[in-house]
Amino acid sequence: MEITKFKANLPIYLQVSDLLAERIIRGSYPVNSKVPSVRELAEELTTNPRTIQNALKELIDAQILITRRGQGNFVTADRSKIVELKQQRVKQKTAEYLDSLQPFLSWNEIITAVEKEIAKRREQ
Amino acid sequence: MSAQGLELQHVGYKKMTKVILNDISVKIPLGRLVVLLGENGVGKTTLMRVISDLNKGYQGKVCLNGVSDERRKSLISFSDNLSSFRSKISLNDVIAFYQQGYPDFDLQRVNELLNFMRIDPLQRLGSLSKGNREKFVIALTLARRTRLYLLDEPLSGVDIFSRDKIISSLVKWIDNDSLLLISTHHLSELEQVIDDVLILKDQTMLEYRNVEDIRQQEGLSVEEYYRQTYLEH
Repeated sequence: MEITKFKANLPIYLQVSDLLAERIIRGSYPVNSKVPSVRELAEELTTNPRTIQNALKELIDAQILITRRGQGNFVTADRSKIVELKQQRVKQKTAEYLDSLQPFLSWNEIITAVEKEIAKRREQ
Repeated sequence: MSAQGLELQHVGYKKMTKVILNDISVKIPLGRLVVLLGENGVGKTTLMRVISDLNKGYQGKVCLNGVSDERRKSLISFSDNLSSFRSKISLNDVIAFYQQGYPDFDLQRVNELLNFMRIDPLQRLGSLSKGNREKFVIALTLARRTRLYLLDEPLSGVDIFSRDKIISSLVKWIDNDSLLLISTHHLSELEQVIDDVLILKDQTMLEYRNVEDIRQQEGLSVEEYYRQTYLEH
């Protein structure tokens, strides 16, 4: 059994909510399905249950998860919400990536580098 | 005023004329996992003993769920180093002793914990490695159904795999009605499971703070923050 390690200098609940969002986008937690309980997630990810509650709250506030009283939390049946979530993630990750390269590369150099790397990975 | 939780009011402790703890005031609600930090000799164990009413003659007031006299002892489970047991005794016999001594001791819970930590209760106490002995102590401490659990250095001298196991078992046993206070020098391993840190320095409390606040507001890991705060003051 391995402990999931989170970055120690960023709020853990945000990292957990990112991780859960990725599982929803990937379909590991399918549309309309129940996500694991606070306790199950706390044990799986070895974090404090309160952290899990805060992470779930982020996704509930964003209407990605829907709370059904007495039943737990469910992935929204509204697929457009998930598409939106995915687009948000793409935008966020792309921005992070560009921010890390922009100080020393031109746009064209970044595009060339990305294309080269993709071509290489396709061959593998 | 909510009486649920642990409240210290101007708590101090002297050994002869030497001040060990001085003017500590803090309120910790139930349902939290709190790490007690501070360098060797700062008084972490003494504070736990004062809270448990094992060190008498302290100053100030210690209040747990509204109980401030010695009756609070029954609401506290303090890790014991088991030094009063002979090494030939089996773990099951130690467990039986605990069961007799504490009406809130939950046999099923201790067995679940030992099973989870892969400790065979048929063994003799003296045959346990240091890590397994720590695990056994933790299982005994957490097996009582009580309000406050005090674990003094549960991760010291324990290998990383055992530490992971212990940390996972702590997560399993957090609930909203109890409070865990753990002293440790292995902060980095505990960062993602704790709620708050309580930092002791120079006989008193430097800070009591939520760890997500530290990460959010300072952009630091708890360990970095601890180091920084400690050196600044």
